[in-house]
Amino acid sequence: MPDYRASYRWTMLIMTVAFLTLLMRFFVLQIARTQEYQQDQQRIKTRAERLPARRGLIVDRNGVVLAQNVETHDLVMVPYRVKDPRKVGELLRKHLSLTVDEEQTLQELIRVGMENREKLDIVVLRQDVVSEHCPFGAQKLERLDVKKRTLWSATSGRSYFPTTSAETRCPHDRSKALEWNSSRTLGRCPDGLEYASASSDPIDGSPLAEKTWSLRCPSDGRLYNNEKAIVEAALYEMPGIEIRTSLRRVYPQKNLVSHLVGYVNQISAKDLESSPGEYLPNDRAGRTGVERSFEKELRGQWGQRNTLIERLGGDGPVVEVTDPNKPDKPVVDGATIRLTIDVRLQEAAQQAMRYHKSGAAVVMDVRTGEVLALYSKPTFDPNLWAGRLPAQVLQETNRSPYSPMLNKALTAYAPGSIYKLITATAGLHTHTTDFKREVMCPGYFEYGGRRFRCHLRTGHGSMDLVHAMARSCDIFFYKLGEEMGMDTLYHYATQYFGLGGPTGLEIGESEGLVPTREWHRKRDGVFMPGFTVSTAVGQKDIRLTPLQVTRAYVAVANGGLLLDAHVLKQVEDRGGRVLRATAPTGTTRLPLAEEELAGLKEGFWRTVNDEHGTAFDARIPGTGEVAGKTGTAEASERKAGVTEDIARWLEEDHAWFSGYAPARNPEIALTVFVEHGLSGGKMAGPVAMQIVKAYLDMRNDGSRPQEQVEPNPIRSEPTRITPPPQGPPAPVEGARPSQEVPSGSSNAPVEQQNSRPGTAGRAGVALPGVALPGVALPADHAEPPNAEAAPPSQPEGRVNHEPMEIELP
Amino acid sequence: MIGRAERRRLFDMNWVVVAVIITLIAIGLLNLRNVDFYSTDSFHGRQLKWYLVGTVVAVICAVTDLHIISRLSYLFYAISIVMLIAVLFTKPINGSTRWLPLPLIGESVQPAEFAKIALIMALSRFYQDGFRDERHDDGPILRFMRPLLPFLLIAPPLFLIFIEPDLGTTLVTLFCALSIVFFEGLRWRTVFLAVGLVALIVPLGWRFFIHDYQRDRVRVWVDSGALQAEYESAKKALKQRPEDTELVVHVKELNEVLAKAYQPKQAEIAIGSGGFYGKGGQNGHADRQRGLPELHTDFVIACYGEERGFVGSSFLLTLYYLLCYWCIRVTKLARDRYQVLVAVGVCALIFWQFFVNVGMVTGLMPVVGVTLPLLSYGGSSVITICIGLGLLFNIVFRRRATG
Repeated sequence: MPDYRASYRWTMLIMTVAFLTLLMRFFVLQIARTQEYQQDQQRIKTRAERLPARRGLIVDRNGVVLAQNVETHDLVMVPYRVKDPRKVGELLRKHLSLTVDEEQTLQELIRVGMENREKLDIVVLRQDVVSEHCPFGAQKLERLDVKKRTLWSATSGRSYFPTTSAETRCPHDRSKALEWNSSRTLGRCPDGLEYASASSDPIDGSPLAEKTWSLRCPSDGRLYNNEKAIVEAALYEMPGIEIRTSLRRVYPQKNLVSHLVGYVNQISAKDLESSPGEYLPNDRAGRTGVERSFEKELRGQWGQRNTLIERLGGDGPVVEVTDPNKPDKPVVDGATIRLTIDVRLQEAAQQAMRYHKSGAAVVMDVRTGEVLALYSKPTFDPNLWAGRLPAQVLQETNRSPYSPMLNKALTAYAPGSIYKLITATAGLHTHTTDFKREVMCPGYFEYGGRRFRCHLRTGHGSMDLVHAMARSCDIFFYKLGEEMGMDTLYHYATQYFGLGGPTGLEIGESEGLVPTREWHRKRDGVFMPGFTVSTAVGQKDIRLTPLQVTRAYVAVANGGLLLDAHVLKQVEDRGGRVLRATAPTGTTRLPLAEEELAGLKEGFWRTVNDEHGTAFDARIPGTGEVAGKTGTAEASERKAGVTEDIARWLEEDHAWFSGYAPARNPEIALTVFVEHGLSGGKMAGPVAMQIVKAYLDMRNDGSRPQEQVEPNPIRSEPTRITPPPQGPPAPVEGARPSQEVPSGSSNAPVEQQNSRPGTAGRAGVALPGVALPGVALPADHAEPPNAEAAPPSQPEGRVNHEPMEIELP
Repeated sequence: MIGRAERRRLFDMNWVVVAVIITLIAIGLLNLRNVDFYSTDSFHGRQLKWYLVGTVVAVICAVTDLHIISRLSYLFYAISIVMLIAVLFTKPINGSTRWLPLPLIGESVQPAEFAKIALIMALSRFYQDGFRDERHDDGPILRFMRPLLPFLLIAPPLFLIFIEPDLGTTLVTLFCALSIVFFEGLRWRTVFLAVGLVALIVPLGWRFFIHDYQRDRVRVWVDSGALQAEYESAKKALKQRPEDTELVVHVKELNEVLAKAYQPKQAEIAIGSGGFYGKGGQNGHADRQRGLPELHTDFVIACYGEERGFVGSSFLLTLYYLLCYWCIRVTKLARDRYQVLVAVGVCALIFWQFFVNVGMVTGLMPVVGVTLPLLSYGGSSVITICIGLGLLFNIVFRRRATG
């Protein structure tokens, strides 16, 4: 064997050196540099990231989309990454077409963002940067083959096509003549396009600059550029600026169902406080309508991703990995809200109301209480309100005397003769009247020293209930009211017809007002029996919403069951599975026997189909048999700062029509309300007929889809009927048996008469003409010659009544 | 050869070494248990099973007549070559064909590990047979070629391991072989040849045979900017288009690549943060698994170093030193050349792997994928070491009774 001693020694040497080297290295790491390494390890951060949920859709009963989401791009700034804010501002100004105002806002946002860079993660500089879709809509922009050149004003944002002042025909369509203004600076074409001949804006004189556009929105013809692409190309020059994708809410039906559906916008401070932890300050949430009432279902649930962020190796790249100890919380997308509304009926309502300036229409299914249409006019375009609302639109909306943002279907107004249904029902049930009792209508009713007029000056003569209803004789109902008393009316209105309270609708509504004696004492300091007389025909202080009225007539139409109104059909998840559905509810029955109800229905039938009925002239072919009631309610009001036209409009009466169809076997009940519309029969009636026709057309050509119809609720067991209030009505209005009315004076026109305290009506209606001791009757005022219903009872200067404000939840 | 006093010391040392080996195995298993804590795996159980098998193998190697084993060395070598060729035809895992599935046992083995010990044995046999020794009747050519003859044995397994590809094991095998060759004597020719071999293998391997991620590891060790930049830009793109699944996958991949590439740095940080006393068992930084996906194999020391600190690390170093020292001491007990060189080979086996692994985990060298003997998880490695130690004990048992 060779001598290995040398090798042995070398080996030992090498090994020992190697080990010592390693030992030294451990020393360096674990003793000398250990602090540094420990710090490196501390730098692992966790981040909890919210994963947004898609907002649920809102659809009508047939699946027509009322609200959906479209991809949107926001231009955002991350302040702590921005190095040169001034350069950012310049570049953005160069690349985006901003008006002077928008530019100011942008600069301000940049400035605020930079000042608060410690606190703010993100600042949204511009919402909804144009890329593929039309702003305020879901339509895709179309690319122009040839870019359009316009002259653009940075001050107003207006665009004009350039041309010379010598031009007489429209350059884009030579068949149309170009109309110039007097100074030949602004030319307009019949189709709306505007041309400018000078280099300054013809309207405000601001300088015009050339601008080319490459995109066009097919629905409104407006021109745009792909702002997103332009900005993206320049992003590398602007560190700290990013384009973030998110979803924007779009309403394809625009202003057709706007009040009901509502809109989303940035969450209000109040809502943010009331649901802590659910929202971040920049979130969008429903503000009105269904968007708001079903916010919880629509918004779904945010998911969460927990990420660990670590800088590798002390100064290496930042790596992100999902935290294995805290698994992701999955996103739950919002549920789809399917409404009972049928968009086709809504369109029919809109079409039918087109000649009127303001009002509402409500259509309900009499078997289920579902609301098939809920239309209020004027409407608004929720697309504008969900996004960057143009200042002009906001101004116009605030200035409009027709209150476009108000949902009039859910606002309370004086109902007028529509209310006679309640008076009649109360009368029948309290045995104040029956179908045989006749009351003489000479055209006026003297009571308590005042003269209450019938809408037919000449008087109807002797009327029974059915005819009084069909011809809307006020005297008959004055009598009933006077005999039953206000609190009785209140009882029937609230207990059996659900008035003065909620209808069961899932979105906020006004509860209206049904007055009592107590209420009057509180508000007016005194109660006068004359108040009851007016209230019995739906005048004075009583207020009902069109929805409440419809619900009352639904009860009549379906045989006496008061159903709750509802607008939610069902809530579905994204896959279509039904999470919750609404069933018809309502247990209160009208306190009428079958014959009594039939009798009332006869009255309603005659209103439309009897030649003396107040709605006879409203009929149109194709509606089959319709039954209902007209109403004309005194509604004169005064507003400051309005034009003469508007002031005149404000003085007119409200026009109502409520009814159901088909008359013999009702399916729908509807109410049409025309604000300050003059006459129920003449104005509201025809609108209602058109809607009924549209409904029947829809149904008959099978376009109304089959739906599950509950077995007719009339067959169900009647429930308890609450007895009338304790004790007889107040003595002053004591129940009176039918009065004999001398026939001689029934049709004679009655002279206008100043009533004096203590004077009884001359026409033979026996009334206690003596004023109540201690109660002073107000002096009577001369009646304005145009009044067709009960006389005004308030002194001048005091507005008679205002529609009740909707109370948003 | 050895004096009585020395013999007694050696005898005592043998018991010490047994204790050392047992301690190392125990530390290894305990450490693996802690490694398992940081992830969801369970390596320590399997490692224990391998050790049980290994013990049996070691005992066999220790009691079998060394002459028989010695004569079978070339056979083992041939078998290892066959296995190395066979493995090249298996399905690549992570881009390399290193594992040979054994149908009967159900586990896979790494032929490269066995090739190491087989080569050691074959080389030792080669020298024992005197092929390396110069003969008086050698012509000038043969005289020139003699020093190169061992490389005829070394080259085939080296090459086969190299093309698996497995750069780390190639280098370790080479070092072991060179250790034996140089123990026999230093010749300039051999030195040049050795240097030449290394110079050849490394660049070739770099270019053709290692993976991107391995390359990235080294690239990161040298300069980390480019990979980082790529990752940052991919992340940014993902932020703008979060629904782009391709992009998501790409970012995830880069994430993993970076994690792997930065492992040595992460390991360095982990070890360094252990301080003097260490953080204690299972008290290391909890997000361990993410930053060190190979914690149970290449980077076991990171877990140990963080938990046991300088105290533990220096203790571990000492244990390995003692083991290697004992191995070399065994050469003094060897009865023939074969035994000497086998002892040297086994020592080299343990030493070089240990040195390269700890060196790379602590940041002294670029990462080449070498596991830590006795501590890292790996069945074939365990068996190989058991064979080696068994052989060494065999030598110890059969030492000359008298000097």
